[in-house]
Amino acid sequence: MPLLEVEDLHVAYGELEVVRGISFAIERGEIVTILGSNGAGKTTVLRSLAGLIRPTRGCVRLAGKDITDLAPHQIAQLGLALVPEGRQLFPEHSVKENLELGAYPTLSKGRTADFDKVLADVFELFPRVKERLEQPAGLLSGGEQQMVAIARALVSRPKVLLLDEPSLGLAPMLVRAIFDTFLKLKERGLTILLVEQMAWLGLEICDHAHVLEIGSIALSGTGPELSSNSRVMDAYLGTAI
Amino acid sequence: MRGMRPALIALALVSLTALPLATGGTYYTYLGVIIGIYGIVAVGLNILSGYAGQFSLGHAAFMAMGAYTTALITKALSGSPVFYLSGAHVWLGILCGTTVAALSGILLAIPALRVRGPYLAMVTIAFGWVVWKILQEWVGVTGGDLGISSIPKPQIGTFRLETRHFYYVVLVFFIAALSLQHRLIASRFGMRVRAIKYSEIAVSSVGVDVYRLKVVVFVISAAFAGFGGTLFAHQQNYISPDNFQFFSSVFFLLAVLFGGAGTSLGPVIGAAFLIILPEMLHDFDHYRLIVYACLILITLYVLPRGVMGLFDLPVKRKIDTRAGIQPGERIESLPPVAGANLRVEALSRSFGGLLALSDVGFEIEGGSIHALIGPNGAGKTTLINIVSGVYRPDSGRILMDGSEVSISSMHVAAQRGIVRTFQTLKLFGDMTVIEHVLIALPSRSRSILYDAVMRSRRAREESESHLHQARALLHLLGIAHLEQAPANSLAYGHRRLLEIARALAVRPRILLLDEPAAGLVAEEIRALAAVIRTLKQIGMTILLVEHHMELVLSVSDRITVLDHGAVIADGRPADIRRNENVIQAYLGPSHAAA
Amino acid sequence: MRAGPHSGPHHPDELLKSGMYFFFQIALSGIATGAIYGLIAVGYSVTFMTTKALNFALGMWVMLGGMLTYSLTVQYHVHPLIVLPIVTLSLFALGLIAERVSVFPFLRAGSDVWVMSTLAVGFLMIDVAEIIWGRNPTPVPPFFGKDPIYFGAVSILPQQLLIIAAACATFFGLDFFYRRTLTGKAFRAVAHSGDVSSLMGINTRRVEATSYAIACALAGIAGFLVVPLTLAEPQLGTVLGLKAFAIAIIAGLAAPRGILICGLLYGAFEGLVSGYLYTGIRDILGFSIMIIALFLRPEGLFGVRQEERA
Repeated sequence: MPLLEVEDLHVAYGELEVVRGISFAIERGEIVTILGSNGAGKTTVLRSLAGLIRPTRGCVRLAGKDITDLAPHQIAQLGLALVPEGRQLFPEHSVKENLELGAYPTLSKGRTADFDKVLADVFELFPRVKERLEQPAGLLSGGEQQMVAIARALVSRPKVLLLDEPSLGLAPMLVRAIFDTFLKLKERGLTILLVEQMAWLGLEICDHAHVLEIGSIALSGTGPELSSNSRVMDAYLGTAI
Repeated sequence: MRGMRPALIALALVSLTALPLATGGTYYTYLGVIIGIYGIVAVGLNILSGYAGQFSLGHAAFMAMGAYTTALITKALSGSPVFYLSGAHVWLGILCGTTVAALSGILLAIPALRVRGPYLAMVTIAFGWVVWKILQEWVGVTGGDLGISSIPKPQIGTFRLETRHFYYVVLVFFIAALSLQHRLIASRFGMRVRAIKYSEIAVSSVGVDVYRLKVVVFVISAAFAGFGGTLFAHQQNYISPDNFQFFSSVFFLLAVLFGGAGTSLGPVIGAAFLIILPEMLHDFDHYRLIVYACLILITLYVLPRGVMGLFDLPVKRKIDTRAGIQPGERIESLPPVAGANLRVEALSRSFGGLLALSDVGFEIEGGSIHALIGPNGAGKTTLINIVSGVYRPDSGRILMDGSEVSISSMHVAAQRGIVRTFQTLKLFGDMTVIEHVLIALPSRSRSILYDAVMRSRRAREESESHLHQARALLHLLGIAHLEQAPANSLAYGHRRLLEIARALAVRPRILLLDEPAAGLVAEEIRALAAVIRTLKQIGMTILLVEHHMELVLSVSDRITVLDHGAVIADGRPADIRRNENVIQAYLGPSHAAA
Repeated sequence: MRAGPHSGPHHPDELLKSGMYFFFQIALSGIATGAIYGLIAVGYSVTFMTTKALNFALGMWVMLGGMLTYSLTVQYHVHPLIVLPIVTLSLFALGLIAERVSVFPFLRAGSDVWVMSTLAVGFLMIDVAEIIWGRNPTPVPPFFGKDPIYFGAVSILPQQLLIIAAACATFFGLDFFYRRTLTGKAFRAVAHSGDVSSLMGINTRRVEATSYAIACALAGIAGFLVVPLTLAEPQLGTVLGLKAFAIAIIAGLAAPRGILICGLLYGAFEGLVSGYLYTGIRDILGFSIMIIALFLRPEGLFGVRQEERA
């Protein structure tokens, strides 16, 4: 059974249908990338999986359980963590507090020992985060903020990690480092759904990829298959006229 | 229903005229007078709160201004024989009272309208309270808690108007107030007022100074309340601070909401109901607040659109079909435009330490189509926001036809000929398609408010010509058949086109299109491309921010590419598509790039 | 508030005699009133930050707190220190109900009609209070006696001292809650972004309702503290609520610390105006200042200017 299944998902803002019936599945331990130009509906897909927008039609299952109509905080507690586009840290909270909020469901039940252990794991991945622990998150650099945002999602010990444009606004060097971390996370058995505008980056690390065009999946395949497909480039830069 | 209207109006007039004769008793006549007076105040509040969407909970204060002013003036003058014989002092007092209320409206509106929504409501409460307190404290003038008594009855010559006569005076004023409301709301001025409720930013994008407009509406509304206050003073002959408590202000807003905010007769129905109800519930005098509280909650739960909302049968007119688009018709009806050359130099802007634009400069040739593209977060939206006056840049210059322009706000940008559309549509709710365009058309007359009230011949001629121009624009965009459809009933593609029609109505020299193709299907995008080309033909300069690369490549003369807030490429479409920097920016650094 | 917490106008000779002491004296008692204002004003801020809605009838909740205190202390002779938690908890519970009835149904609709519905709840409370307690103002004896405590030549009433201490304790308790506890941090997170907070597994709906109830409880505490200085009557809270709102606006609704400072300063200002000028003009001046402050800084003295988004 796939860990995350999406079936015939439709999402609309008012009368504007942004996602027009897409289906895909992610197996445990896979990295799946959704590619597509701006406005193709990638972010909307992630937001609806996390419960922030209710789909107009279709079904989402996490480990076999239907989560389509659950509230976002319930979905989060079931083990689906979204790192939103543009990082969205709580800027006035310190880095440590941001991490505490990431583990809110466990911590509010008083399980602090769990938290300390998972925190140690996260510091191993992102040593920089440990150095910044007491600073307000809003004062970090873009790259550091992205690390904290990912760390904040990881401390909830998610089953699936959803990443929305992690490369956004970062310098190429940093992007490379962050994408290497995703591979490390995969080695540890984490399942990842990555939405990425930078096609080649996304294709490099994924097992499977889907190209989204105007709300529908136009193309699917493995990373290498799509890398050599000229339609991917057309989806971004248009067909030459 | 429509055909019956004149008959209904005639019937209403006859029965209102006959009311005092039929009921005979002065009590019912008196109630009629009070309903008429409160109705006038409620109509004024309806213009502000119902149509323009600005809640005021301080209108009792304006009523008090009117009432006290006329009371003081008429009492002071009544001794003089000239006035005693002519009765002019009362009418002079009414005039002054209304003026004073309007002036205090200005005084409050200027600071208060800097805030919106609930804060405005709270500030008006505070104002109402201050006025009430002044009435109590300034004993020398206002008589303090005791108020002012023996206020002269209105008179014509030496003929004193008793309640049964005054009834007809109030009736005339009441009908005048309703027809004034009708004229205001039906005019272009009124369209702008109604549009404020849906999107202030879109109203300012067509060159209207929204803050000023709101102040004007507030003052009109205060004048209605003041006028009602003066009539109240002369009817009652006695006023005290008790008449103008906070609760009275709540009464008026409740009347508007209960009757139906933003409907022509709603406030009157509300006022009548709220006056008659307590009369029927004599025994509940001690529980007045409970009754009103329940009424408020019932209104909000059960009648969210008021009593009038019940009669507004939900005939959702779905006239539109996606296939209706026939662009390019009647190009000859659009006069040529002198498209301006636009240059930005060294623009920088940061948000909380994050640099959104750094040292951006490029030039758009007059009369050309220039596209601005780049990955998410590249700074395109920030740039369009700066050029259209939403943000001020931290540094840098904007030049039109070679001379530097200062763009301090959106309406200033529009007045200089730079007009934009919005990525997330900002249309005016249930206002009709043609109203969207009429709002934006520039006017030759200095005051569209004056035109609205006076309906001069010149104004009527101009409105004819406006209608022509508006229809021509709707034709150009292929949505002429939807002229009378409410915007919120349109299909998405038509809404996008309506945004563009509205922007074109301002007659821009530079048109900024912010992702006009977002959400459109292929056929609609082709139609959009045709419209953009037509605009170029008549000479307009167009800056196109867009992700849809096929559209960009097919219409643009030149393309500027932004990434990380800086220009990384600038050139002809064919070159841009092959540019290594651009490919990297979009697809990411890769070994596969070779 | 018919009888202000200050003594009436002083005789000119008396003013000359006392000089600086008089100044400190009235400023100090003003600060006590200011602490009350600050407490209520923070309540506006607490709801505003998480829901962007306000309780337009917060003053009536102050009244309810005061009337309950009157009943329990005067009629049932319960010790004030036991009354305080009873008042706080019952207003918190009532606040939860009021939120469900008068705010939640209208919050998502995107209109401001909750202005009217929260007012309606306030009206209900006034009439119900009149039915239960009658309209006549009744004095409530100060909790810890009437003998002033002297600091040199400046004296302060025990009740005023209690107010300042209790208001500060409440405020710091609230500050501790928001900054040091996980739940409080979650409240601040919701204030920043409800969407992102829900991604953390935080039930934002519960946070919104609780915030509203906290504001009601704060108003209740303010009513408990202020009622011995004023009189117990159904109109007790109306003006207090309005003034507190003025203070919250002047300081900036999103700046709770600034609100406390503004509250104390405003109280001192009021004390001085009614001490040196006359009581009647006090509130007129105060509200006029609010309207002017609004014109100069719509976001508040301690607020951060928010850029309008297109």
